[in-house]
Amino acid sequence: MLQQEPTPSSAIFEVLPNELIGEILSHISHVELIFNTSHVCKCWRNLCGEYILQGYEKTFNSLSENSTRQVDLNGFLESVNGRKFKKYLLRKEAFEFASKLARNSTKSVDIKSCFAMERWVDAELSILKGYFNIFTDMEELPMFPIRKPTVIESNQAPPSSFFGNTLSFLGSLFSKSNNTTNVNQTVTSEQPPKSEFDYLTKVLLDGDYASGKTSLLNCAMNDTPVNASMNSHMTTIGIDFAIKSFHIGETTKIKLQLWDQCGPERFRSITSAYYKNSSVILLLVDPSSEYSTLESMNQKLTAIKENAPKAEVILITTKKDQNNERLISNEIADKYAFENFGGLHLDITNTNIEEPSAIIWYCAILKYLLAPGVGNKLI
Amino acid sequence: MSETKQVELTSKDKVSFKVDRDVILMSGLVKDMLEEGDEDETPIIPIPNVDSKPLQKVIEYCQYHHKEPAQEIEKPLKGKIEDVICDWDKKFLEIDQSLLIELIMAANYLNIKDLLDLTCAKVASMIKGKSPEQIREMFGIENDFTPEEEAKIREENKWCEEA
Repeated sequence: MLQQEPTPSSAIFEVLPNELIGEILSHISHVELIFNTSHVCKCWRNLCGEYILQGYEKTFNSLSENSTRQVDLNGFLESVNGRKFKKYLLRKEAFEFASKLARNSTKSVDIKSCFAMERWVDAELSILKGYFNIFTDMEELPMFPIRKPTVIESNQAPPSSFFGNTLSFLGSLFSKSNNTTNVNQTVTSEQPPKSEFDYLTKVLLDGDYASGKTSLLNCAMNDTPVNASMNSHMTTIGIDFAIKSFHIGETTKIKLQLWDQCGPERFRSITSAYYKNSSVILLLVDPSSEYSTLESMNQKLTAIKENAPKAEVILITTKKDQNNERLISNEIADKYAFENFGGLHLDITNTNIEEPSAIIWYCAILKYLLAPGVGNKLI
Repeated sequence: MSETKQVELTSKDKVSFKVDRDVILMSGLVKDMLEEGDEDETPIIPIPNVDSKPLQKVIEYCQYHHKEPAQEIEKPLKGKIEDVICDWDKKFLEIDQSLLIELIMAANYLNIKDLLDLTCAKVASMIKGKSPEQIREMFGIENDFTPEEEAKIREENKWCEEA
């Protein structure tokens, strides 16, 4: 597009009044405003600041009681809420991209592989990756690097981090487990044939009894949505498991394991082991169930933070099709997710496959986006 | 009544355009002016802020879109602008940057919301996915941050995760 345009006459933006520059900036997403557009010049920074703060107020401040109008963009972005807002925006952007991928993807006959190979995919993914790459101090997910990023081969220094991750992960297993043979088995069995996948991500379903964990698994992984007219519930005993591979653009392949654990505590004996290796934990809540209270969510979250401090948590309220009276409103859930882990809250129903699929796509690309040191650096 | 009433617009550089009345009613400004004015003959409306070139484009836009209302462009823009607008608009936007900027100002002055949205979204689409350096270069914007301020901005963005 730009190549066709003649070289710009300089200072074109000087003739535009601020409110029109503002009008232009209002078409740009908050993520881009924060990480990119606001760095152009002082005037743009002020204009961007207004939109960013407006966006924040619209999303969250209306929900919190002691909100004071922030006027200083620098101050806001450095504050705890500002940081959470950035984290939240990035995830929201990633989720929107994942939904788009899910809508435009194709599946293999056995539905074990999903493909999103259209031309725009690589370009958009690399922009998104550029934003995620800015955070050098971003905590890494538990990593299972399967294929070395090509950069490493040409350079001697980086392997320390690559092997460091693997080793520290192994180390953490050894220190907590006496059964060394078992550990070795786990690790080898998690490595699919080399060069077939770039990343392996483990996603764990967590949530109360009958909150829809198994339904989500069936829906997202096996394309079998819940039949809304049937009112049956099967209790999962022990652990259930499904696997799917995602081919994103030309370059990126991600293998995703979805672990479904049983809701009732009495069946749980081995949970902490499952928590420990998870990159993403989906916390499911049936907002109409009497078991679902903020207190029970707190308990779950404490357990997650204890066992998997680095995992990404996504709060999911289910059964939105049933129009039951809700004990937890979407607003409360949004606020809860934002305040407790700066993460996303999604309201879904397992009676279609679109929403659960989008979530699974999101989990898959999140793994790639949060992986350190790969992809194009935009800024 | 069957005869279409016309309006004459005069641009800043004194070029006149005859336009159907119901076409140019898309402009909020012209609409306000006409409601007060005489209905009988062809009123002459001076548009002293807009040159003939952008005004011609504005009229072109109104002639197409007064019958075919433009689809609203979602904010924030998803993907590229070319993905969300109709073919006619795509062709319409094949213009150079200075005309595009003049068009934004004309749309704003004449108060044509859809055209303002379209042109602003087009510029936004050009900004999207570019680094600050590329944006400055593209639009000839001067970087007025001191090196210290720049470092501070970069630093603030590193702090994303909760402490």
